[in-house]
Amino acid sequence: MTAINSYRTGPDEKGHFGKFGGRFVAETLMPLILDLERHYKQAKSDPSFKAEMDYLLKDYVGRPNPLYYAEPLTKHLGGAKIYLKREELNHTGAHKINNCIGQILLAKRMGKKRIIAETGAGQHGVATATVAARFGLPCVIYMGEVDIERQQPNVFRMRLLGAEVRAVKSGSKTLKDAMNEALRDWVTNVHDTFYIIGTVAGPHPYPQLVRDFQCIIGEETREQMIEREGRIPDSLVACIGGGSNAMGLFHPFLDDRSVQIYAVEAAGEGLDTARHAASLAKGVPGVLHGNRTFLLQDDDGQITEAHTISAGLDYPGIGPEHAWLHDMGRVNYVSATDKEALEAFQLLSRVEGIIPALESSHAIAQVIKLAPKLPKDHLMAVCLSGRGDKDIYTVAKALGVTL
Amino acid sequence: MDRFLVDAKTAGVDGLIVVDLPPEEDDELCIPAVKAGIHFIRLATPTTDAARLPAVLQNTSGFLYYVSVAGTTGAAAADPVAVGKSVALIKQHTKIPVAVGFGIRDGQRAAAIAAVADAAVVGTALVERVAEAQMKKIDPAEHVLELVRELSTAIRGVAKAAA
Repeated sequence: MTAINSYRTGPDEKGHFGKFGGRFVAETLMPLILDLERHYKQAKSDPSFKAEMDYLLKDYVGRPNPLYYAEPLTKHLGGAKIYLKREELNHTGAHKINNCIGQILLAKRMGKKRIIAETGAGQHGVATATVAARFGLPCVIYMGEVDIERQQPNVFRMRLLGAEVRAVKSGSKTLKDAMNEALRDWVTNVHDTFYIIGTVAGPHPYPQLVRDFQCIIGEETREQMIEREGRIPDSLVACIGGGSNAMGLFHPFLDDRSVQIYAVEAAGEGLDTARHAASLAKGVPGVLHGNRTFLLQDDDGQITEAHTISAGLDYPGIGPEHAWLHDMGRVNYVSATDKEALEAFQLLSRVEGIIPALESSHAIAQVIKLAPKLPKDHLMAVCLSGRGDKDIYTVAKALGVTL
Repeated sequence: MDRFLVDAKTAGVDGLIVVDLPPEEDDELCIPAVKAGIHFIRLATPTTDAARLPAVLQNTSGFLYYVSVAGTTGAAAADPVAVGKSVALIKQHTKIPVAVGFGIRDGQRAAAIAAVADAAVVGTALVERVAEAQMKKIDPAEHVLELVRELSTAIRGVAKAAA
């Protein structure tokens, strides 16, 4: 493969990252997607859009959040110097709000009157319901029945915020099915509805615009690390379902070739079983939800069910830019099992006094594997994408505790 | 893809309908198919405006499939007058036949659509007949044919009136 000058120039004008990405949607949606792309291009070059975004991110979301030196965890693991990017301190408790602020401002620019979204763990649903409340727009959230069951606190939060949560009963009743249902709603109500996609997937321009809105994670990390240590990190670690927090952290560092990058897929009960959500490790390219990417599928091209203890990673695909970075070999895609994530969840709670989301616990699991083998002057930045309060029922059940 | 097109041609396939494959993604399948002599039938929808129509019609051959409502298959029916206007607009841009689908469930509606378009497409209503037959424990083939007879009689009536 020929070396390239930059990993940051994608996608091309048709929304392709190499052979991945694109716009595989019904003709009904095409004019709308092209319209969204036009509005996004205009917004990017409009100083007033950036000013409103900056204001909301600062005073409403609470950015910049800290890059925290995890001294106890560093000492506990005895190797690399570990920094946690505290996305879980954002308003609504995860990185998802960064993207929702951007998209609701686009919806407003486009004059849309109704917001829809899909959600897995409920973090994106809560973030969407939050911005919809803030901007006074009615909001419908699609959520799989299985996820509703395991994420009750977030379901109640969304309802408190005025959103209607619609249970999705098809397929595996998780994130993939919620996204199917949201796309059906969108096709039917295309004239007045804005679909806030929560991850770096979906048809172009979504993977690009979600990435751009999440890049603030990596941009702040770069600035904060330089301020603190005088240089950029040696490695980055983030969990990956669709891959938005990972893309947000990684993208600003893709052209810094010295930075080793690790993305952690959910290995569920193990990669040697059928119960995992590791679409890069075990999937093959195909088309789902408007883009071509690596997918878990059977020999007939039917999507197979993902499994992981973490609702937010329970998706049989992955953002197309990740698929491309995987092919290019720029990012190391690794995995952590349910068991490893649960151990990491408990370790961070006890050692740092921070209860991480089960999603982010997958990143911590990789840190546990990696850090002890690295020298003490190795700077590792880890995205703590969300807080774990929402997961206490799931974790209690897994540990055999009745609440 | 090459193998698929060769196999399809050998098997006697006349045309392809691939939903969710807009003209923006033509390079991979549509253009090779047209070159191999297989029609590529595209969908147009109520959101396809005059500005976009030329892009949809380019590389489209055989016929154009007009999806009469925004939504999924089996959705609510469209107003035949509105459909007529849309088909007339499309006909200003192309000479190929225009078929109309989505929401056509019975003879009456098929006739109304046939009066303004070159063909009426019925899918979901027939599939539902199979499910209905299962529930009523009657012969599914006969139950489906009953609707097909109703549809074809209704459409033939329109053709005669036009002639």
